[in-house]
Amino acid sequence: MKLYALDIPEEAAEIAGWLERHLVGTHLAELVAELTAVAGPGTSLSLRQLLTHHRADVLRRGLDVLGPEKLRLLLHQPALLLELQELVLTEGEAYWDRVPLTAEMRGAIEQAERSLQPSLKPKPRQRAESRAWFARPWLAALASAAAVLLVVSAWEFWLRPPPGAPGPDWGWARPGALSQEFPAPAYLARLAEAAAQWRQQRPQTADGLARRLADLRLGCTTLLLAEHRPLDAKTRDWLRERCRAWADKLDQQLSALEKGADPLQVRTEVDQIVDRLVDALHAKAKELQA
Amino acid sequence: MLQTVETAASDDDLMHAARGQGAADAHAAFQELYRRHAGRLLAFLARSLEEHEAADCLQDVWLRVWRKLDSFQGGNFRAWLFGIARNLIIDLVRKRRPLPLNDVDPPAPATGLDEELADRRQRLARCLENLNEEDRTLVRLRLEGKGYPEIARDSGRKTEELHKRFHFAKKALQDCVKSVAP
Repeated sequence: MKLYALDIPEEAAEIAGWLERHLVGTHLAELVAELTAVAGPGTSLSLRQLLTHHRADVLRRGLDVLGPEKLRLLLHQPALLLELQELVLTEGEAYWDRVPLTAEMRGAIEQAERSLQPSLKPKPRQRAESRAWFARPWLAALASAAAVLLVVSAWEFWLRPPPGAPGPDWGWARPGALSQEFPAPAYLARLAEAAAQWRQQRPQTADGLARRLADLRLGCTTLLLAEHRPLDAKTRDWLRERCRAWADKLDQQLSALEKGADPLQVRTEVDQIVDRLVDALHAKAKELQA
Repeated sequence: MLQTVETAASDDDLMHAARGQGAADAHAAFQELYRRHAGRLLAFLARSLEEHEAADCLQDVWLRVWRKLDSFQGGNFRAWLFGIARNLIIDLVRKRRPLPLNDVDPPAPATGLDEELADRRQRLARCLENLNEEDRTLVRLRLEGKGYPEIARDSGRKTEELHKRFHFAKKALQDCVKSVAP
């Protein structure tokens, strides 16, 4: 657990910049929690009372305009920082766009942008023009039902492996991967290890990658449908919720691959998805262990 | 790679271009909107969600924006964007903790982040108690924004000594929060 408050600059002149980086960052809530632990919740000064006539200047030119005394008031009444954050995020002018983001945030933004690319087709206008038929709810429902029927039929008649045929020999879909015999932290750690097996094979062709990705996606379905008896209801809900999000992302990558995206690029994207889900499972296991 | 667009264009102009017929122009306009607003949006999401969720949600919000381009009526794009984000956060939190059906006006459900923050606060408060009173006061004064010269003047200690003491107190607190139970 990293403590953010203890990184407060020694020089008073640097405190405004430090707070500004937190205001546009992703760890302000942690900073506020820490300051509250040290200073208590503070008095009942409102943000309006603190900013007085400086509000517009803060939005235009940042926190330096407040001066050291008001900055100390902010540190002494940390909940105001959260209010101030909402204000600068929603109404802050161009100055606030120039406050540097952490490398961690830049990485997340770049990653999300890359992951978005395959989903930005077709253009909404093109969709809108052909939308008339599925704007009708009954027809859309009928079409959905037909599509499901088609997929199920195809699965039953052409794709379903014969009884006894082996499934994936790795990941969550591997027989025995979801053994219910372990306590919750070990169960989650085993799920993380099973997912990490993704990196044990590095297919380079679209075909090979599609098969590997399909195995991983099948593992998601297995996970969604499993009982997860070692987990309490809350953790089970968390796992299923995360699993749905992972499944969506894997579907997007599979779809990108089918549309001709570069297999190595897709593999990199999936690597990142898997890394994050492995981290999330380990973190949850640790949390349950604590 | 996507084409570049005129970066001086307003958000309204970019939304207009993003809805337009030319695929390359639409993508470039959308990318410029993303570049302008993704940072603040990520910070906004992290107010309510755990870090990995906020990163996942960032992509989901922009996907919704792309799908809802036609529903933007003009005006403040950022307010519209944050409105989409707010709805997504509510959906996520509700899915995680279904609200009881018989509550007329149920309280906002706590998020994983709320629990993590309460845990952080409790751990640090406990660890502060482990410090001696002088070091605890030093930490408190530093986190109130006071510099070493000012604290030295008030306490009669040397700046260098205070510097060293704060360094050790910081290390002790960092180690303690990792091991102490909340």
